[in-house]
Amino acid sequence: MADKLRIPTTAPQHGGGTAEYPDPLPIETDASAEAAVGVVREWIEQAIPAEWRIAAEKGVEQLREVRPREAYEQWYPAFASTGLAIPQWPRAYGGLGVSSTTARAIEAELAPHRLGRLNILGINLAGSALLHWGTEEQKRRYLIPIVRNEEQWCQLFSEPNAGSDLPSLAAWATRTETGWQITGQKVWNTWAEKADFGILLARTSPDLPKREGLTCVILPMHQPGVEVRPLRQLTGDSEFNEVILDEAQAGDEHLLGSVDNGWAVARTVLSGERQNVSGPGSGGGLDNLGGRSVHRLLQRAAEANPAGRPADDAIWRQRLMKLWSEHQVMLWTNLRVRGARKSGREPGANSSIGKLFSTEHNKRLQEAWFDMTAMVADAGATEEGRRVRYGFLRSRANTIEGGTSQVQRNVLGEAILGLPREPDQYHGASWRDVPR
Amino acid sequence: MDTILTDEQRMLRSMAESLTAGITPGGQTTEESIWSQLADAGLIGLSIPDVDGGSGGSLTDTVLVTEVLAAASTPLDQLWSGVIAPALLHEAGAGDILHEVCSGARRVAVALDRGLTALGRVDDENAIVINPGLAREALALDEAGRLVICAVAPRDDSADDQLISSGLGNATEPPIGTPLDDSRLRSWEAISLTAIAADAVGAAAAALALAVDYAANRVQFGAPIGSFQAIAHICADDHVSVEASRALAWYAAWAVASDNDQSLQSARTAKIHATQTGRSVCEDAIQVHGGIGMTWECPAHTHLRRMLINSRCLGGNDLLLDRTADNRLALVDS
Repeated sequence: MADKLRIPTTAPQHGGGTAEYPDPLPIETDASAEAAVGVVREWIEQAIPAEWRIAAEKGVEQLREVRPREAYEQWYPAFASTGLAIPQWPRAYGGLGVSSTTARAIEAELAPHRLGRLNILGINLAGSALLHWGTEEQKRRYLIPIVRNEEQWCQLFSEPNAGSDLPSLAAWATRTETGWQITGQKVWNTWAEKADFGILLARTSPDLPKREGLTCVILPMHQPGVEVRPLRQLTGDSEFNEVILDEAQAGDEHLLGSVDNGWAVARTVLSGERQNVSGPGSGGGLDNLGGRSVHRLLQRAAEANPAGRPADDAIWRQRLMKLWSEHQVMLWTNLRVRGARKSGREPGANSSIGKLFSTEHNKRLQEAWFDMTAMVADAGATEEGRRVRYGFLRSRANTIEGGTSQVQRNVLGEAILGLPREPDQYHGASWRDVPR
Repeated sequence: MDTILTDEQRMLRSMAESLTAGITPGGQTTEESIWSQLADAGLIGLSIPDVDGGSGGSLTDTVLVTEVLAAASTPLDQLWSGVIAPALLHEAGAGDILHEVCSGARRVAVALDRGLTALGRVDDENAIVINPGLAREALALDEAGRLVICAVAPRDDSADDQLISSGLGNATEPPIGTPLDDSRLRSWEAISLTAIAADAVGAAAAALALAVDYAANRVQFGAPIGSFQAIAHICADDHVSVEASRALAWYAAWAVASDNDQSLQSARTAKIHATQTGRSVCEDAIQVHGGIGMTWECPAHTHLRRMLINSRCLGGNDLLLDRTADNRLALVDS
């Protein structure tokens, strides 16, 4: 078995796509969970450096010391090329093609080693859209570099004048002799500064109603017509960008889905985005809500304090336990959505449930942190106070980014509960005729 | 969202759904026939092992069926006489009586203390029998902590509230088995809280379905009111609450069945969330119905009443949150 695995003894050079990587592990697509786990165990022994395995058992901090981010990123493509990073994806596209049950068993076996997925946007946004809408050629071209974290992706959807009303967007793609030329302005583009490709939504038929004249384009980011500028948020950080497109070029082979079918593609991408959200302190690459965890809040409440422990205060106890209960809700709701996703179904509108609940919860959680540190610490002057203030401020964006809570409620009302759409006086009108 | 259910569980759920198809919300005439149908289908003592006369199902099975029965406004004594009482008899090791109860031949209710927080005591003249329905007997504890079966006064059909009957009569049989120790009482409490949570999930889901149906059909200002965000967003938030409670109830069923050290806590969390948010869901359903919502005719209030009872039994939310705090904060203390 061992010689079949062909584990390289030295880490391959990152990037470029020319390095030699091991083949996917010899796990058949119809392998039982038990059989797959056996192969995975053997791989773990051989491929994960012993030092990493020992440190991972001790905790995240200890692991970070022996496995700095750069070392992990350099090692990652070899790991991903075994198919273990996303086992349920088809074998030809970087996975192992196994059933969701087997995939779960593989993930459980790997979990203690903390091999967090890299390229979350590539996987969740581009990956789900490519799997669903890509041509065979596109899948073969793009999916494996996504899995191996060799090519980064960003989303180019929102515009300054098209936020919640996304399908009203105005960036315009016109035909050229060789393909397409795109001009417009995009905003809220996470990781655009390092992206190799963007999933772009552009208007191709302005005379059609707004949803019917959009086309989805895989936009190569490294070209003269694409300018990426950082955006500063109220926290002072710059997590997002704006992207100016000035006659940016794309070929016919870069269209994802057919011309004027972009809205359907966008919906696949958007449900992948909502699914992206998890909780603070939950780790595993899903740590993107910002702020401090409920577990640390409980610890903090139980620490000795001159002003009295919140853990002994009747009102605080109720507030803390409501937050803790909400955290349980979030974990189990996320698990159910993830279960649906892993079984191959699109998360669809159900992902709005997790997005809505976890973001509103995180705001309440960070508010509690803020209030509690006002009670237990000199909130302005300490490092703790600074971090809590940051968590509070950052979490204000949670119910806006990735679709506002109000939009999520519209999605739930219409797509899940089947409530009638809100009357739209411009329904069916040509995009040109709608005021913007 | 149902991916973690097995095919058997889906079948069980549809079986329960077809069983309840004929039940009208708030109806009382069919009480007796509903009971025998439930017993024939093996839904009384569903999670009690076969050898003890039950159907040998999992606690998850009970949760799924309880949701369906609650959603159909099946009389609440199914929960108490069909799930909670059999679980208590099982913990006490009651042999023949448990067989009789699971077969549907004998209906036994459960007595609680005046605050509805714990199992009632025989010598407590303030003990309350919860949802006796047609049951003529109820379970309580004697001074030694043994389980006893007492007579229950026939219910007063002229009374406003049929859900609670005061007063416990004399024991009808010798005490059952050995005294119930804390660990057995905790196991029973965990099962009971989980079942109550499932009942609350069913009631909330049914109230929401009523609201959604009404909002989709009631026309004002030239459009169905459900097309207005002011109404649609209430329904959407309530859907999130129901799904969240369902996730917790299903998790509790799994945790309680696997009997780990957090199983009772999981059941409490499920019960707190399901009844707390469930009450808002039911009240929202009344609000969405507008004027018709405040009439007896509109069945929204039947779900709200059920939710009120569920939220009080075996500890209200304040008490359960406080116990949760004892449990959680002790964990971070160490």
